[in-house]
Amino acid sequence: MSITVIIPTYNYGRFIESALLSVLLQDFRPLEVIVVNDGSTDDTDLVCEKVRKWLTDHQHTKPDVYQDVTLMLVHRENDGPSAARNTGLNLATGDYIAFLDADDLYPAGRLSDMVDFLEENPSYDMVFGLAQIIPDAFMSQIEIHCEDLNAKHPDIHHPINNTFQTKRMPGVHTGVYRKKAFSKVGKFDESLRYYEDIDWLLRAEHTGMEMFFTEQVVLYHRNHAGSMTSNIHEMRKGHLNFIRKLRNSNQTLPDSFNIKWNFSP
Amino acid sequence: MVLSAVLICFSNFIQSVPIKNQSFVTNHPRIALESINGETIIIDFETGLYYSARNEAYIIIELMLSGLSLQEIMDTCVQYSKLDAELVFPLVEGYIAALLEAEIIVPAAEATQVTDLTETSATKEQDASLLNHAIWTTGTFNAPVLESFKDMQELLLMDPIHDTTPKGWPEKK
Repeated sequence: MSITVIIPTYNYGRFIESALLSVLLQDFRPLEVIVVNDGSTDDTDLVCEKVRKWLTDHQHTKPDVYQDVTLMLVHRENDGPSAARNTGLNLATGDYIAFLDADDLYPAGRLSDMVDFLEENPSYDMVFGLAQIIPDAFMSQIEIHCEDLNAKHPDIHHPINNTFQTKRMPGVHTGVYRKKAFSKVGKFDESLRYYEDIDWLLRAEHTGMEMFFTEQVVLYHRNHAGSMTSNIHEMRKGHLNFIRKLRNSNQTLPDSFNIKWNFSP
Repeated sequence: MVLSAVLICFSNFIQSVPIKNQSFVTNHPRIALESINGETIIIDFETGLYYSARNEAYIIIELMLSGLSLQEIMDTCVQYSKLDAELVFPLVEGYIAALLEAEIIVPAAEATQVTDLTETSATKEQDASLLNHAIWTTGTFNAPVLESFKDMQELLLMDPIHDTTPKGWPEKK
């Protein structure tokens, strides 16, 4: 069994090094990482190439640890997170799929714990964990830089201040999925730039996918001013687009979905 | 005590009967609204409710967004439906009153904010399509309906995906 981690990114060159390393340093193998550069105009490519060099070097010096790790960099014209994730899905070879946004981090052991769960529980199609919201300033406590990576692995278990909220986050980046789930549910709706996660999860619910929720923190979610929804106008358009899609398909969010994702009254 | 009760009733009466020469705009920034393919979707970011307006309701909203006064909207509906004013006027008036009551729209004279870019007001082309709308051929003018939905309430009031803050998840309003 193998896993593919898909990282869509748009102009997050300042964050992606840490995000990538938090994946490459996971203890699950074989590991395939696909970075989909969604038309970035910043230094994303340079940073990714730097990490790729780091990986190549370590594949020579520590083949026992890194020989089953591949890092693929893919470019596409900017078309939003759904299209970028779908590009990654089209290339993915893993039996399991996970997603990471380029400004977030995986805690250590996250992939192996979640894949182990799905291996031991074949009735579930996907497993989700909790996200912890970390202010940007505090995220630097757990950021990992290539220069710091010597013979010893950095401790990505770095304790996070427990006062930061830890909750269920209804996004696809808190899950691990059997690849076949995407054959049943379909891919991400490329017409949506907001709530594309909710849309996919809602379709998974309607398709009868079995979801399990752990109480383990599986994502450090960075809160920073540059997040997509800092533009109120775009956010509102996103809300309207998603609601229009619901209306066009005569759907509403079912109570079971709201309860499952903890946003029911 | 009695006086205050009467005043409340009177103020409600005033609010529920829109003035006929008034025109209206959406209640920004609280409301976002979009019309596509014969349906208007309205989101109230203060209550988390969203609304759908189709057919007669859609026509009225589009005419309202084009800047017509209530009287002009009523006259247009009478002209194109070819039905009696006694039938059409109260239905249009009642619907505008319902939009006011839900605070989706406000009298244009009271509006303090410029129109949000999410709002689609009728262009000349849209005006033409409104006036050729299929409802005018039915020979009827049904009571316009303001359908409301609350299934997105939690998401809209407290967007747990996007609307996080340095303190963590957004607070429930």
